[in-house]
Amino acid sequence: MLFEYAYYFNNFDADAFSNENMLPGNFIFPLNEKTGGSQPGLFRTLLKSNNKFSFCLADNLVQYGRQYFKEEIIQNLIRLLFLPNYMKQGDKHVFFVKQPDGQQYSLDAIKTQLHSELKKQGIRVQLIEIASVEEALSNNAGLGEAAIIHPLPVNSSGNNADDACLKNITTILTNPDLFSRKWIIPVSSRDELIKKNNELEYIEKQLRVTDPLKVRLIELYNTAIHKSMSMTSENELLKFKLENSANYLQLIRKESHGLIQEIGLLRLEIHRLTQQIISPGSSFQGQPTDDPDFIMQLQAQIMAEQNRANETLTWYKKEYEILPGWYKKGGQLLKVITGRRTFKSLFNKYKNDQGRKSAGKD
Amino acid sequence: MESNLYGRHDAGNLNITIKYQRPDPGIADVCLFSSYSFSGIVEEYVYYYLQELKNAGFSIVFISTSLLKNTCIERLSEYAFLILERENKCPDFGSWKAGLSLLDWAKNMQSVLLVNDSVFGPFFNIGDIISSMKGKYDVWGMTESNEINYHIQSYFIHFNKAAIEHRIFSNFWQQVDLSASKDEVINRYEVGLSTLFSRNNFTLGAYAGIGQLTQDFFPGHKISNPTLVFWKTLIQQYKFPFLKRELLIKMNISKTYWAINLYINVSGWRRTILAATSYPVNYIEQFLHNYHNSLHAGGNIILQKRKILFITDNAADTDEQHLLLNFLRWLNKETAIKAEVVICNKSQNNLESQFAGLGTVTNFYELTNAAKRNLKDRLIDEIGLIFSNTLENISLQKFFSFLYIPRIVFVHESVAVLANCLSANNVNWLKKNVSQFIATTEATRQILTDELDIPIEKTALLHKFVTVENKDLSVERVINVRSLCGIPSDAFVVGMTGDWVSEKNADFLPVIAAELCRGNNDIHVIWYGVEDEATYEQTYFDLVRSGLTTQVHLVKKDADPERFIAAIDIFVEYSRKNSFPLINLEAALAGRPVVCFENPESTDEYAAAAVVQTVPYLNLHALVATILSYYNNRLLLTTEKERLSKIIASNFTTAVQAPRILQLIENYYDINELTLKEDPSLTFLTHIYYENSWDEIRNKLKNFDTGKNHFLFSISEACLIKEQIVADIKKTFTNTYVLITSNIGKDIGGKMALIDIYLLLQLKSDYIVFLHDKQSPHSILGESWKNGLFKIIDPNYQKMITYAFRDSSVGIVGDKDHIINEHDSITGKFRNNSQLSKKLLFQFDMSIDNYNFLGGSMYWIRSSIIEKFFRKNNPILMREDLEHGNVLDLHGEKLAHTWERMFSWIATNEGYTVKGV
Repeated sequence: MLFEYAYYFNNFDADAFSNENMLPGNFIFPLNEKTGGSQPGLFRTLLKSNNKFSFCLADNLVQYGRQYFKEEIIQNLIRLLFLPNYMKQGDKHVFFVKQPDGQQYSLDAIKTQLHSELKKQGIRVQLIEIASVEEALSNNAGLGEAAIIHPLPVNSSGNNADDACLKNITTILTNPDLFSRKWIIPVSSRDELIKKNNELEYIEKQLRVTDPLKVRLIELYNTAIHKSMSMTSENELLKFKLENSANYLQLIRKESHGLIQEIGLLRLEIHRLTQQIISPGSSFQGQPTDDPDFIMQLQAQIMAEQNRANETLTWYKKEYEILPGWYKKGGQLLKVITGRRTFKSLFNKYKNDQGRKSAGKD
Repeated sequence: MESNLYGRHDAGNLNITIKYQRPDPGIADVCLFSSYSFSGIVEEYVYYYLQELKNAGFSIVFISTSLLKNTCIERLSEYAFLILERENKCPDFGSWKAGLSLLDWAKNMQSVLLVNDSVFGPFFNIGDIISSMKGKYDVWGMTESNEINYHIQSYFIHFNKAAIEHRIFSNFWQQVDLSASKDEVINRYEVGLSTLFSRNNFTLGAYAGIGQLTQDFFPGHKISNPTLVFWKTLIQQYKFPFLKRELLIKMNISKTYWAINLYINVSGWRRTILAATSYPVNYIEQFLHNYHNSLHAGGNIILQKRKILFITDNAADTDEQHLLLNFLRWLNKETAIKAEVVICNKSQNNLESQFAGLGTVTNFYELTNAAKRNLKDRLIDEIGLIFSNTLENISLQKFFSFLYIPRIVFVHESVAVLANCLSANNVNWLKKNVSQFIATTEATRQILTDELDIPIEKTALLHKFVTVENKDLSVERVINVRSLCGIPSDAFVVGMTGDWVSEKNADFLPVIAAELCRGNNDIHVIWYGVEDEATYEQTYFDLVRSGLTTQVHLVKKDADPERFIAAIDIFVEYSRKNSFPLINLEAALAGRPVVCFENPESTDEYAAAAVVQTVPYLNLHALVATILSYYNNRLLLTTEKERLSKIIASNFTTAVQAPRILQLIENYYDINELTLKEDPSLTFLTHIYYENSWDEIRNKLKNFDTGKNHFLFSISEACLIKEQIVADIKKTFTNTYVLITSNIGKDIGGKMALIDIYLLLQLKSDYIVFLHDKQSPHSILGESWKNGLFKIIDPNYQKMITYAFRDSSVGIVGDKDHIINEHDSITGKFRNNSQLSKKLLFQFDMSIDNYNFLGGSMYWIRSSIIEKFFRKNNPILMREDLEHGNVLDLHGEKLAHTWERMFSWIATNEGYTVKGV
């Protein structure tokens, strides 16, 4: 879709959310009794769905105590945030905030607690305030890049709203200050969801006909934003991975150096023993070196040492060769850093694997 | 005890309940039938046996050591004049004693037959057998054994009047002690009975004598149990009437005589009985189902069909492997047959992951001797047929001889290999051991029959085949692909391919191209399959000099062949080898005319079927002329398109040829034969962090995806291809749950999150398997560590692991080289993470005296241990204390590494031990 919509269900509706016929979309549910508690069914439904979802902090949370909220996060919320289809912005988990009138202090406390509890679990939070069109345009509440809630009226027969209304909606959507925001569409039932989804598709279709240039600009903007965000997030991961690998490389070099030194010492020792034995009239460890049995024994010992040295070296080489591939991709990493290649492409094994030798044995 | 018609003597001490009795004044030949029901009902095969005994003229006493339902008693009364129920103590000998005691030790009777329900049958008329044996011996049985000492096997013993009337008969039975142990019963009664009568000069013998059996078939195995070792020979060649029940229900029966390198393989029991007898095998199947159900509540036993073992030379990207893959995909989709794949030799293994998706894959070349033994241990009970996709690798094929099952060989090797490269010994071995050869050309088939002397009925001809896929060959696609190569949409495009390096096909390219393109500016040539830089430069040099670079396009080998075919009008394959590559069929299926050299060993057969057009070998002029005939008559292209597609679709596709292969397989493999297998339910908790580890983990885990196991994955958010892995997991596994977890606590953090899910969903499994994509990049030992740890997901180690868990004190099993103990009993300190270890042990109130732990955090652990501990201690709460990022404990104590130790200590604290394999 051209604009980023999310359907806001006041109550979690498993049927609507997991409906296979629905186009993939984003859903928002309030954190409440329906989405809280220990619910295997809820977990399964959210997991199986192709739709993305997110939670909304709303005024109902004010009634809960700090300890209760902490336990709810630990016992029931974390696992839902780990679901692959939880909505994210970059590497941050998105929570929407619907500020209650006159109780701002209470919700702020909840927001702070959410940040702090999730941080312990390594989860970073992106809070997005929900504002009306008017609030967003006036920006008088310091809402910044707030998501915009719009009721998107549909008439009772299920048909689209009248032309004037649609035109008004289109104007709002394409407003230069608003078009890039997340659009929150409240829905109360599956039927309403389908109707509103159809209406949004209709609006976009019309817009593509009536104002293709604007559509193209919005698309370009969306692509740029998407690329920028994924690049930022990948770069952070890449930085982390490179730091790790630098650390690992130091350790492995140290280990390798020790082994190489050991091999060198073994070879020196072999050389020394050999020289000692082959010198005429010499003795070794008190025994004359012209004693054939003693010589044989020492030769066997030297052979064993030599084999040990060779085996150690062979083993080292083999182990080094099978080091994780991405160590050896140093040059490729440079390309990534300089922006000539994406990090993902280093590991892209999912490309079409069709090439094959055509002429085999018959 | 009820007042009764038969009660007397010491029967009162035997705790017998008479469930049914009727007067039978004419008892002469009595049969005492000892029975125990696993499922609570008398099985149909037992009624069948009773009916056959009744038909043979026996009056029957039925003695059960399990409770009999009234419906069963009612039905049994049709066969037995006396039905007894007694406690399950000293079965068989105790039951026979009970029956005989009520019959006054069989005095005045003509004969006594003692039998039990431990056999299926009789497959042949028991009356005829008894008549033939009566006059030969005083005491006889169906089989005899030299195990412990010579004796008649007690599932069927017949005594004549002389034997019954001798005092030793009644004395023996009166002295049977009902409290005797199983070993005592065997030594004192089963072996003792034969010894007793033998010493008293009675003649003893068996219907199928062990001497003859071992002499004929397995010299040197006289001490084995013939009903187990020779079951098939007995039925097929001795008209033996029984199959021992334990062959089908006793776990690991196959390994009874491993110590003497003798394997028992029960595969083919159903087909053997069906082929040689008129016995209703459904009675056996019914029993197996009932028996399995009776175990189901507490056991890890599943009832499954046998698999087919597919042997392939390698997993390289070649036609032979693609043919096998085509067949396996079809088999997987259209039948319930499970595949096991053994890859003989190392190659680039491009196709290994494709094989892995279709069955359990073993890379034979990687196996140590111990691992080979494990492989035998597993396959002996699972395989019903060997399908070898290669005639070579004879030594490996011989390795599987222990299975004693039918073999089919799909022969892809060239005529030259067949005629010249097989030693006489190997040819003899193949002739003796292979049930069916499948040749891909008539020439190959002829070599098999004429040169290798394989009987014609053992050979079948089956041409190569390709799978029909919905390929986009629309005009738009053609234009699009051509434009990518810089070829005008209306050009006449000739496609060519071949073995660029070894066959040097590139030599001809400039010559043919020059002939085609000079004066025909709208002819373009695409050569598909460039792989060697030096040859490329040489060829390109020729093309530059001949001014053909704009009309000849060289495409690399790893390009998509489908796009190549889409772009061309006609396909030319000028191989110097005696081969007919699959791409010829793919091109023809797409409606592209195919031109190649004549070759009686391959191409000519396809030319006869009008699939390709041939020209004399190396006659380039004729080759060019044939191509130009299409160039000059484009209408021909259109008519050929439809004709070729139809010919291929109806003769050379997987849909046509795979059922024919299956038909050949079904001549030797019984798709309906069931076998019991020990198979505990597992939940895999796997954490993935690295980008390059997923393929290996997926391929290994797929082997365990039997439908009843669960797969829980935690993909680290720091993994750059997490979305692709999530999609692949959902596509690949059944019963799967996947999380993207924040990067804390390394694999332990991910596993804690998965334990939370395991508990939430109340998944039930016998064992939890902890796993992660260990790479240890900080050490050059990393790969070796990983290989050791990954034993736990090698199917060949599964039996060893489950065997270890048979010891109820074992709680956790992993790689033996990773069992570590860092505790110094003198100082009381741990070598690493000492403070944190002590802190956690104190925090969870754990007091243990053995600090062994399985390092590497990969092992099987009894699920109950995890469930008990983490129900009390929320794993998510534990998780929040773990360190963020990818931490190492080389420079300080780390909680994540301490938890690595804790899992083993949790098991130890519950009284379990840590065991290595």
